[in-house]
Amino acid sequence: MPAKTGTYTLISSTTLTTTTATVTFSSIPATYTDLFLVVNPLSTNNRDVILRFNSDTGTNYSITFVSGYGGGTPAYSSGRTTNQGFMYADYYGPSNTSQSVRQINIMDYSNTTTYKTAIIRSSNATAYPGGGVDAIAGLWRSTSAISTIAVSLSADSFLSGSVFKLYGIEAGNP
Amino acid sequence: MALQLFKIASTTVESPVTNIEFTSIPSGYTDLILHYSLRGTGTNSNEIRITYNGVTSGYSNIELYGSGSSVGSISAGTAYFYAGESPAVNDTANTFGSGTMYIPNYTSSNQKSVSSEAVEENNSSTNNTLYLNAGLCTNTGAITSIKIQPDGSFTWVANSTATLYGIL
Repeated sequence: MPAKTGTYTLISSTTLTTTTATVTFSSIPATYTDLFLVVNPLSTNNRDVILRFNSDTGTNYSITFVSGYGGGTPAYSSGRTTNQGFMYADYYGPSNTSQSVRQINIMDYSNTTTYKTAIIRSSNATAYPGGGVDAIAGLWRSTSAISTIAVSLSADSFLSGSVFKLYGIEAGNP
Repeated sequence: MALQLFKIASTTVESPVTNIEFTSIPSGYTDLILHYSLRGTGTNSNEIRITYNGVTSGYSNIELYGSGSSVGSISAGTAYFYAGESPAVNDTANTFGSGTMYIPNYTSSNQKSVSSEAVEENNSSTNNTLYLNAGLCTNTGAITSIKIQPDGSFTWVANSTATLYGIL
């Protein structure tokens, strides 16, 4: 019998029809192994996409990133932020009025033993300055199971047409 | 209801081809994932160039790369999504470059943004690079075909593969 393949389940999908400050995925079931969040943000003024879990606004988030932005000197960088009140989902390729992609993998999100980690890829091909490629390792220092994810911008609101999709991933059988 | 990551189509090259193309892509999924394992007939490396619907203009790209000895970022390309590079003739035999491209909202009437990663590793002192790419195309048509081709007049060699998945 062929091995079962990993399964993506679309938990929730939202396409904005009005300007919206925060999109929240709530009552996330604990029945998957991992979560995969895809965001196509639209905004003005080059704002960063940020995440908060379980409504936690405490300084419990940190990231380490490597980024390239296709121009300037140098045209790349690596850095980190600690003790933030949110998790960045991009750094040098913020959202703007061009289509762009955020892919956010949240591993073992429902366990109640370990802090939660995320691997994030952000791709915004807007010509320099403005666009960029980010690879981000994120940490939320909480042992709580993630049941709510809030997606916002560092300032302002998402524009109409922004798309948000949350998938649950089931492990395949060996 | 559990929904699957569906394999839409897969190609394994049997003799050198100028491109790999998926056509008549159904519209019933939310996003697409393209996986590829490629080796070209260029001298040192071959660019991986991806176009859709036969569109050859309006693309922009930003790339972050690391070669083990250097790191850099460039912006390039107006005629294709630039998705890194693959090993070629002067690289270690039997090595292929692997990559993946995520294509969200492929049936929308928006401009198309993509994200991709590729590796070119051949256990030598040259042509070993990791690529992270962002791509945008201003064409707003729903994606119904995808073509993967090397730069110049080169070809993909036998045993190169590409698989297209749909996500519901």
